[in-house]
Amino acid sequence: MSLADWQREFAEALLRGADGSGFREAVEPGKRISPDLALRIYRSNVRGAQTKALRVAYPVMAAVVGDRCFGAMAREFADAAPATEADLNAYGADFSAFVRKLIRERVAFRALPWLRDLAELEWRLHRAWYAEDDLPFDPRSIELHPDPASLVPVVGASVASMRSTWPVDALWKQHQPGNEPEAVERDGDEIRLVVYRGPEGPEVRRVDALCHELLAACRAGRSMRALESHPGLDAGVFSRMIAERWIVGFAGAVSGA
Amino acid sequence: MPEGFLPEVGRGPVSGVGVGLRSLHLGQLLREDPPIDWLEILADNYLATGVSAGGPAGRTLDAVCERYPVTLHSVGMNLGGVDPLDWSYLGRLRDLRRRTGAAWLSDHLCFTRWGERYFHDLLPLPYTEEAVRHVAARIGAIQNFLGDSLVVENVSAYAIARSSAMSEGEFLRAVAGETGCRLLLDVNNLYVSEFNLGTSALETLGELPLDGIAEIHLAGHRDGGGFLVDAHNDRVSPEVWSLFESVTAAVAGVPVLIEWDNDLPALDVLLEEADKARGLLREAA
Repeated sequence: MSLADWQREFAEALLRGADGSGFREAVEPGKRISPDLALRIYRSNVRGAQTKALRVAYPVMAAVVGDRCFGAMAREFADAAPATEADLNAYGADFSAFVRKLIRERVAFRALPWLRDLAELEWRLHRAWYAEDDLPFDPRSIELHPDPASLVPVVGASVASMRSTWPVDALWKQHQPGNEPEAVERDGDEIRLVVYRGPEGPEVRRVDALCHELLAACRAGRSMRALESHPGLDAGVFSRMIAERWIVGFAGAVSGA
Repeated sequence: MPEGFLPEVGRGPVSGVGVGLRSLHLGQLLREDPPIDWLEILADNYLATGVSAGGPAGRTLDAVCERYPVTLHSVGMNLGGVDPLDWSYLGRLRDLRRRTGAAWLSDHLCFTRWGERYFHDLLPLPYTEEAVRHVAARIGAIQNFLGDSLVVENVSAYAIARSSAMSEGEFLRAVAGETGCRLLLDVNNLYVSEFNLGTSALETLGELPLDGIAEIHLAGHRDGGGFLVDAHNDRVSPEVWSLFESVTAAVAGVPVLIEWDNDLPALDVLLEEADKARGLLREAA
């Protein structure tokens, strides 16, 4: 059997539900491990690595639903969604879609409609930790540009926005070290959240509609000239967003000034 | 060796007995500066662009590397895979090595990917001439890219290919001979494979080029109920200590590492294990 054939038989046998007959034929029975047992161990290892990665990315969800429930969710997701990247920290992006499906289809999850938004928030926080660093920017460089109004504000690499009708930010904060978990009340209003990487790590902040819309407009490539017509916009809003490092530069601005 | 590819090594030699760097212990390491000979960094935990460029994790890593000699250990090179090498991944490893000043970079003699699927497990290779040639070509290309020799680890195996035409020791020796790579001898892996598959760890040790060993790993395993799992979740077992003692004289001066990944205890427990290894090395000297 060639090296490629060995790897193909092995890989196909690791798929959940595969019969693994090719693998069994390719393997010499060991002293204490039959080919069947070997396959179970390797399947368990592969699934274990993926579920461990999900626990790292979604710690608050694991705490909220309980270790046993989260383990079952993670195993089901891992079986349905093999990893497609070498970087395990990038595994689990679609977990919120899986959670939404659970809420829709499983009776036990119907009482937890906010779980999907919590997953959305935790994924943004997880990715904020690993986001690329933003290059240093001097706001005074805008003054040197011949047409500053044509510049497009650049949103920081770690910055992400989301909306929710559930106070998932409060829930997340209550599960951070030093905070006591307690009942989180829902007032029914939609909240807008910005997730970003602060000096000590990922953070989440509630923002008003204007800030939320401006960040979306900046991501869409709207220039300062286009943004000037936005209702309610004043210079102070941008100053605050720059101070928070949510806006980290302006595309086309002269650098190094 | 391509000029300019050499990392900026020089934060002290890697020698004696070190421990694997784990995030749970980072705070204590930076607060207390415990006396540890060296640290092995799990490279894959620091490969995301932001972390390798900066951010809080990157800054903490920098602080650790300023205090301790370090090496880098990765799990994703896919040295034995038949898919093309991932040059983006290798490039990030090279950047991380430059940043950390790691004395060397190690990975495993196995495959971890098939097509678009990544297994994040160390899957065994058949011990064949074809596999030696294949792995040697890939290690050669990586060493050229890194500008340095790679350190390659034996994995614990739960299955041996019927097509294998040589022993694990002969396979490792052939790969090292073809490429000039150095070896990372994981004593626990040898023992787990021996227990599960009936291979002889002592025979494997006898077949290895002991003068080509750059590093030794010691770790714990889990009893799976009639078989052993290489879980890195416990103290080093008496059997593994005994196997280690059988080579301490032959590998005098080779750096040793206590590796612990799951059910991680306080750092002091790892340091106790390191002290035990240090004592055995002293006795053998």
